[in-house]
Amino acid sequence: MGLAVALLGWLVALISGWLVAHRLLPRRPAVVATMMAALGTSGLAWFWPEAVTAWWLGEDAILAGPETAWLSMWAFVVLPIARQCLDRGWLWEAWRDGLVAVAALGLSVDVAHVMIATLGIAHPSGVGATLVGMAVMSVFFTAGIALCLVASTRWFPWEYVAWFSGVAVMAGTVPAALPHLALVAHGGLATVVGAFLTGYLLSLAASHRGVVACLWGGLGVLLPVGVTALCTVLEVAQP
Amino acid sequence: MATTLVGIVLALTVWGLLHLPEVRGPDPPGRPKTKGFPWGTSGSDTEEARRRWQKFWERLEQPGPDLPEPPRLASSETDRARRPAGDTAFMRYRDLWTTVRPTVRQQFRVAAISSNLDHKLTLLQILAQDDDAQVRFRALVEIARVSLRSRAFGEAERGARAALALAGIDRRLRADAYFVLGVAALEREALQSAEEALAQAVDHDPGFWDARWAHLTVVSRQLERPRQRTADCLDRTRWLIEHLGVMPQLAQDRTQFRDIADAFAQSAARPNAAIHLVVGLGYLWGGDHTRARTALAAAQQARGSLPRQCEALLLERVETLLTQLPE
Repeated sequence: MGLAVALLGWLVALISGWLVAHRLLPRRPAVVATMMAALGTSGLAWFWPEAVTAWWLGEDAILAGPETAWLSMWAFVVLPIARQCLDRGWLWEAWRDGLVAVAALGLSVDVAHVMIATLGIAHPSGVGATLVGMAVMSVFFTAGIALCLVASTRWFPWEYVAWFSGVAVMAGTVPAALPHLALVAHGGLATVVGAFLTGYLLSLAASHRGVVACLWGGLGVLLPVGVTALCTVLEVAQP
Repeated sequence: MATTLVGIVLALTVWGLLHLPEVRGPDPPGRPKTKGFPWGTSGSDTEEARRRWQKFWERLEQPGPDLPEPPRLASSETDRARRPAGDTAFMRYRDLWTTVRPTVRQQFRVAAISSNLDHKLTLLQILAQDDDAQVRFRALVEIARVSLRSRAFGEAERGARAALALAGIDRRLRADAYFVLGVAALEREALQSAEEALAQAVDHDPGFWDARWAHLTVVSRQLERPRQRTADCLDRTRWLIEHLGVMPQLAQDRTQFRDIADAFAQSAARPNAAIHLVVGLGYLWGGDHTRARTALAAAQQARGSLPRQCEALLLERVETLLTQLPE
């Protein structure tokens, strides 16, 4: 039930964000509504309450410490330096993108669990489960990008990518809780590099609209599949 | 259930990404700010911009069937006392300075040559309390300019806005405040506000060379940004061509056509059709037909980087120019 509400909240966020961006809704209240919906989805679903409770009670954590996501942390330092701008606007955008990323990841984990159970996949760390997990994650990763893009006039939500890959690495480093994310987390480096490479490629093609439309469509698939491939190569290369 | 909802999320996402909102540029100066829902107005915006574009080219092609002439300022807009350089109206228009009281003039001079920043600001603060609105305005703009030089951009913008709030000021003076506002925004990389303020500066004083140069820089950078509207693309290209034509006239230096074209040809990382068109026109009006032809031919190669309708209109012009160019 909670999950369905969370998903509906996400849909409302997407639609209202789009309507606001096209000025079919007055700006301020609708942006707040969008943010509340995104916040609500991250709180309502199973993953985040569980993670917070586990951390609070000192039980076996299902989320690794922020030190595992040191590359994303670095991205946060480098991003404003590269843009030579650290003002209130940036701060607000970084936090907003963070909220969306957190909501997107939490929701994708929950939905993946439900779908793996519904589809009757026995091994939660098998190929089938990984594929389902990856597919759901790519859908929500792309949905998060869409939400960040309609909420701002920027070209690419770099902060969102940094947040998402950081949280994904933190969540995936504990494979007991999230078997299908373990692959992503194993190559934390690959995750972040892959995410930023995608952004960079998109920014190179920034002015070519047709190319970009194809890239946007393929992005959700490109990123997790690319990362998985890289991780596998890294795994094999290890002695 | 979950699968269906995920499917809907995916469909909405893809559709949303393919229909990303375009970033609205500033409204052309002299027109009231558009408010409310542009449901249906974006089409008429494009139409209006297209009309402005056509009219602009008709004016360029006025002299005859030959090549278009550079746009020029009307004689009413050019002033005999005008000197092209200078970022204060008093430097550009000699006769404005004579309307200021001699004692106040003296105080401004003392403030200008003072090398102590605090002392300079104290003197200007005193002048900012003057009874004469024009003196108050000038003092506020000077304070803003000092802040701009010491890279206190927020301070500079506050000063310029305070100056603009004063009523009954000569348009050419108001252009100075808009210029400070625009340059401060440009330094902060806020291109949208910079474009808006600098367009106002040029609109308030068409003979403002520095404002035109700054606006040229901002507009050419805005043209390279994605998610641009067709109307904005056309208006920006029109601004570029107008600056290209007027700036050499203001400086009374025809070599500037070539200089500006050279600057554009070298600086643009990924030149689009608009930049190529401007470079081509710069060489054409500078008298270098070979380079003009190369630049215009390059415009035809640089497809796909601007809104489709805008690019089609630009390329239409490029083709006409290529046929008009003598071998």
